Amino acid sequence: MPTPLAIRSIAEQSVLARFAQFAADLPGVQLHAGQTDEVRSVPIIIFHAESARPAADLGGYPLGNFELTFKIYVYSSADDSTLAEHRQRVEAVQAIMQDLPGLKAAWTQGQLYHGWFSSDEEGVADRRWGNLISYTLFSVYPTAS
Amino acid sequence: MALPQTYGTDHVYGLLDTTQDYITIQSDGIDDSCGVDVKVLDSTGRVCTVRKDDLHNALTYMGILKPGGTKPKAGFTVTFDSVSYIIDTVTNAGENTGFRKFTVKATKYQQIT
Repeated sequence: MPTPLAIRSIAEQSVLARFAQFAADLPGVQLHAGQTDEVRSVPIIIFHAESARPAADLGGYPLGNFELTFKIYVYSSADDSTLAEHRQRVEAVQAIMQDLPGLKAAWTQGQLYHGWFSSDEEGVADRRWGNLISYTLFSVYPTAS
Repeated sequence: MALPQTYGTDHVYGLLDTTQDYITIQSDGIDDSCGVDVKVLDSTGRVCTVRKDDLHNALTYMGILKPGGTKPKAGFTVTFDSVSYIIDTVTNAGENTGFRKFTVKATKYQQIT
């Protein structure tokens, strides 16, 4: 049985694959794709393709082209990490995502056309530092071969 | 019955050329037209022959100005997407709540390399 593709899974797995190349630069940080109900420990970076819409330019025939809202959550324990250490992780995330050619090369299925940074919000709750970094990504499914 | 597979049709995204060092290009466009556009009408006024020749490629691109780099001037040439164009107009526009926008309109003539 063929496995239908899901653009949000492709995006999450692709970004995870890119970040896995930089695991040495994020020591002790868990990298996690998508939502899960499992118990997590911090520090952790979660990659979540929150929503996907048809590429508006293609109107009623999007042909597997998508605009995604992609969110990266960075959590650190306020007991184990200083705010400066947490912000270093956030900056590492932004640096990795800023290298668009590298991210395109790591894309696992189809292709990533383009992507850009949308916002970075920071907060603290329950003794955790937390940042929500949002990106807009444009991507397409693999073509039929 | 097996589920149908999902595929996509890829398209060309974005700009033709982002290598100009004096601006960050935001948009571009090329309009092709013929300098020679002659129609011959028959005795009833209908077009029976057309001659189109002397291709003109009209380029327009706009970007946000950078502090450095050498800005092109009207009458000079500019290379865009590996093609040399003659600059017709240059617009350098600003406002007090935004970046300066720099627009170049240029033409590539068929017989001028």
